[in-house]
Amino acid sequence: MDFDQMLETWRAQNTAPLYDMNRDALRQALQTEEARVRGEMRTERRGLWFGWIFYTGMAVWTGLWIAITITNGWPAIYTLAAGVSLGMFALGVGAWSVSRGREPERNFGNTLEEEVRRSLALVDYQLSTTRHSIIHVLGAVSLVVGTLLLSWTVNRSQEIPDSSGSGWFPVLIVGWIVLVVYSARKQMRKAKPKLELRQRRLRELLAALDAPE
Amino acid sequence: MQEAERNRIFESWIDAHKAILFKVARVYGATHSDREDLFQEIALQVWHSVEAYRGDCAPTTWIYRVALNTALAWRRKERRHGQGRQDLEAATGLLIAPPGRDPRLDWIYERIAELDEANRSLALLMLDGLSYREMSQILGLGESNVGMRINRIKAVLAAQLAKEERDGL
Repeated sequence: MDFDQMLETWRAQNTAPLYDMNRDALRQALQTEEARVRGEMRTERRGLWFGWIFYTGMAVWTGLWIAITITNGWPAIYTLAAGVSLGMFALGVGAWSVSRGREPERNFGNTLEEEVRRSLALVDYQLSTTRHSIIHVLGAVSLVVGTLLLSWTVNRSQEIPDSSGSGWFPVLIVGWIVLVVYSARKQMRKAKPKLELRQRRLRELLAALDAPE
Repeated sequence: MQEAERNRIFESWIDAHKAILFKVARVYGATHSDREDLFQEIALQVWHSVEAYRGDCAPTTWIYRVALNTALAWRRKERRHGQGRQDLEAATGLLIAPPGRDPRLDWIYERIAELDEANRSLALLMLDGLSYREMSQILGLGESNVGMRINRIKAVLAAQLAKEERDGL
């Protein structure tokens, strides 16, 4: 076989394809994919609504509470605590938004080189443990601290006896932070070898694409 | 875009360009079940991409881009493919190999499989008769770089052909 015969053999695939395709199996795969995409979009929308309603509700409630404490001339510590919890909820919204929007959308029109660079940037980001963990910790901690502070303000201002004892608040907060950091680190340790392998392969591929022969 | 319209475009693309999908799946899949898996993944990505297609390039170029990007990403998936799976057990029946295939075609695929991942894409595009400009648009490489690489691939294939000629292919 010479080079021209090789080309001829190769191009014969266009008239006599390499395979026959089972259209029913492909259609079934497509239907499954459509159902998966629809399900994902539904879950995404629900999550989005839940997040906005919850955080906005808490922020509005805290804002109202600040107004009540000021109007009634209650001690400044209540206003201050409610203000801090409002700030915590705002921080939570920010962390929540950042964690949701961190994956850049795939552009199908990308060239191979662009696609490899995009994937590499994504893997590099996922491997940057510090930024990754901080966002999760901020999101989780701000929510708990904000809620605890607000409930403390409400209880104290209404002279409702605190059954849990406010002395437990710092312990609860520290415990929560430790739990969140621990689980984030554990998850990261599990994912790291796979991500590193992928990063190495992507870098090799990029180097192969960049290197002139 | 309506779902029916998207499905109609997808069907027409698959009808017209299924050979591209077969070739990419054959080049990047090590076993038959891997090829079925990859073919399905590429077909699904092509379906996803229909909405993003703006007609800036020919559908052939677009489908090559989607297919090659998917194949490269698929190969990076922690090597779950072709490992610990029984080929016949895992086969889904999506691709049916017709009997009596030209053995020279298998030889060509084996030679392509010996190239590195980037050059495999180039070899496939070269054999399909795409111009340097089209290859450059698909892979994101400069045309001169494409030219140099293609010359190298041709030299490798020519050397293999000469060797096989001597050994009596």
